[in-house]
This record gives sequence, structure tokens and C-alpha cells, in this order.
Amino acid sequence: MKRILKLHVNGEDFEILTEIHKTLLEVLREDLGLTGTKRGCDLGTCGACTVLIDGKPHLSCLTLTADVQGKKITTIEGLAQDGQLHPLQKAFAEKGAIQCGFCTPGMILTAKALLDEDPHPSEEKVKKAISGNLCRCTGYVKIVDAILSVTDKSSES
Amino acid sequence: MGVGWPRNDVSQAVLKRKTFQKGKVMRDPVSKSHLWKKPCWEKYFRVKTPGEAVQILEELQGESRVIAGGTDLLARMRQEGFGVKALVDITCIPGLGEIRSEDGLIRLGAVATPKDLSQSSVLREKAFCLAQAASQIGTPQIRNLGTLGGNLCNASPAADLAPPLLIFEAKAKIAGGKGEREVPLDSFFTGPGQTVLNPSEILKEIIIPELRLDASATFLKLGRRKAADLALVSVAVLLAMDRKERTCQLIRIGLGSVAPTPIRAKQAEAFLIGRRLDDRSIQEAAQSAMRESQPISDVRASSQYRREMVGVMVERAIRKCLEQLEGKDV
Repeated sequence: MKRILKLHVNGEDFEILTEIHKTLLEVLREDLGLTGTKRGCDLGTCGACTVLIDGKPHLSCLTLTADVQGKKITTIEGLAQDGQLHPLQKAFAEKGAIQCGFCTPGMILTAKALLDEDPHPSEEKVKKAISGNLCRCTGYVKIVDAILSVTDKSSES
Repeated sequence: MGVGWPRNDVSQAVLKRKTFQKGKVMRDPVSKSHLWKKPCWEKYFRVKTPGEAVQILEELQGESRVIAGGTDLLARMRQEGFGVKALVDITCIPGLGEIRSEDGLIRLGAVATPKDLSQSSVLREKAFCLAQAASQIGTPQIRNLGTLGGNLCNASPAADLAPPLLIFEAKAKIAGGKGEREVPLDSFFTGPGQTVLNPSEILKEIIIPELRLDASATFLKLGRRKAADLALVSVAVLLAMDRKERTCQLIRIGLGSVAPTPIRAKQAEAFLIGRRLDDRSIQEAAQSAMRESQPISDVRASSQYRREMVGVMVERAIRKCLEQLEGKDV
């Protein structure tokens, strides 16, 4: 059964006619064409599909679209502003924290949620925050470095 | 919660892959996603009261399911490809996610998330080991989505919240067509994935007493990794002692992942009660808990290892409680 759903994604309002049992992940990728959000395990284990819902990291593969109407959804596409990459995106690129890149959108969004809550987290806290995002290239060291480098910069300025 | 399901299949598939013959074209056994069907239901109800939920569940006679966070249900529907007529979403019922304390009792709403539990000031103050257990469930994302009720009603033997609730002798408040009933948590679970709930009932609330001021409680979880894994063994212990004699006044031991349901190690408790708490008695109680556990072997660990770890973890948990008691001024 199709229905019109109203979504607020990356600062824009959308009205979408879609199947009501679709997950947020499916709607983002298939209906809105926002393929930056990745489908990994599709079971809530890997964290590749992480998006921010009202600023908190959520698994879009286990979230029903109908449940998030009226909530603020942020995907990786919503981070860059006016053609400028978000500091986290820049840091990931500069520090080589990207290997195959599949976990990166989820990693960056989870990191953003952490830094919004606590701009100067300890290394331990960073590791704990990204514990739900699996990187199968296992490049965790550089990912943690990249996130910590953003916290350093903001403390200098 | 959702975290457990795929890992079994993946690890088994990896083991099998080693035996593949050369030259044979086979589909990658690790990815089963081509077999998964979409979660399917005809109707989705967002109910506003427990009564409404019960009414819909009764009308549809077992062809509907309750959904809260969906971390287990959606994952399972996807893996097993089963559909239902209706899903009844209880997360919109006002107050069902509240955590409050009144008259020495703590009432935990069924749709409180693990994140709510781990950050609750009530629990951190009056039942810390439950907040501790909640902060070790799944992953940060799962903790934002899953629920207390889901963790219990899914009835995984490894449910992280069960052992700490068992040592508090929690009661489950269940709403059904004939009104409400209360069931002690240790008779709530009837087998792996099975509870005393009938298809038209919902779990509304978990009620626990506050931790006695002269007691201490702790929760320990052993996994293969620190996040995103089910417990190989989990242990919760509640202890109170006579400070002069160092004799055990009250002991409760809850075990997870080592029997068809989360259990209390009652023989070990009976052994320790009234006894002086020294190395020997603690070790003997731990051995008794080992004998009471009935772990299985699976891809995570062998039954022998699990049983061995029951002994280690029970001993460790009792010692930790003792340390906490000694640091307390009562």
C-alpha cells in the first residue's frame, strides 16, 4: 500500500509517495536518490546505514520511514555547506581515514553526533562512540585520529 | 537485540567456505541478502493506550505482532522472510517509556530504551548495575532504538537486562484482555524465544525494589569483543553481609547465556547464605553455579568454556560486590 509521507531531510522538506513498509534506508536510497547512506548488513549490526535523527545516530535499516515524519534527518549529503566539506569530512580525507569508503558515511555521522554532544571527547570516548560502526578494512586507528584531529582544531580556534 | 542474528550465519558460512572445491562456481555464502524478503505486513497500528493494543491483538488472533524498537523483529522478519497481518506499535503510548521511583519501588516503562536506562539518574543512584548492563547492550545505535520490553520479550537466553533484573526479583506487569497481571521475572521466561505472554498480551512495566542501602550489586558481561556482541556469559550478583561477622545475609546470582533462559543460581545462593564470606566459600559457591548452568556449544564458544567462565565470573562478581560493600559507610 502506498502513502504520502512527509520527510525533513538535510534541511529540505519532501513529500514522497511510497510503500508504507519501506525502511528509512530504502526511502533515502531509492526514492530520494541519496545513496551516500549505505546498506551493509541490513540487520542493525554494521552501522553503515547510520543517519542522524534529531541529531542522534540511528540505524536507518531498522527505522520505518513512517515513524520519522516530522523529525530532522541528516545524511552524509547534508554535511557539506556551500560546496565546503564539513571539518570531519576534510579530516577523514586528509588523515587517510578512508579505505574502501563503505563505512565512512556512517562513521562521520556518528562522529558528528559525538562532537555535537561533547566537542572535546577523550580517545576512549571516541572509540566507544564508533563501536557500532564496523570498518571491515579495519582502519580504525586513522579514523580515531581523524576524529580527534577535528577536536584539536576547534580547541585552538 | 538485533546484533546477534547475522553473526551466527556469517561465521558458519566462513567455516564452510574453506571446504569449497576449486573451479566450482558458487554464490558467496557470506551474503544471504539475495534470499531476504522485505518485511511485510498489511496494517501498521500506532496505538495510544495499552488497551487499544490488546484489543487489536485479540481481534487479529495471533496474526499480529507487537513492535517496539524493531531491532529484533524487523531483522528476523527480513532474515526468515515471514509476514504478519498487522504490527502493533506501542512506542507512542504516553508514559510507557518512563522510569520513575515511588515508595521504594522503581517502575520501568516497557519501551524505555537502553540509552534511557543507562542515563537514568534514578537507576544510577538506586540500581546502578541495571544501568551498567543497559550500557553494554549491542551498539550505541541499537541502544538508541531498542527497548527494555523488547530485550525481555524476545527472550534471548543472552538478554543483557535479564540477569540484573532477576537479582532484583523484578516483576513484570502484563496487560491483557482480562485486565492486568503481575508475573515474577524468573517465571516470565519459558524457553529460548518464549515467554508466558499470550499472543494478545503486552508487557507494560517492570517493577523492581530499590537496592537496599546495606547491599551492593554488580553486573559482568563476557563477550568476544566489547561492542556489538552477545554475551558468552553474563553474571549479576546482589550481596549483603553482616559487617562484623562477614557472613552472607543476602545473596542473589543471576546468569545469562548459559541455560535455555536467563536463570538464578539458587543452589549457589543457598550454599552461601549465612556462611562466612572467605576465599573458600566464594569459590565453592562459584563451583555450585557452574554445576547449575547448562550452557550449549555454538559458534561463539563451547559449553565447556562457558561453564568454566561461569565459575570465574561468579567469583569475580561476588568479590566486586564485597569490595563495594567494604567501601561503603553504613
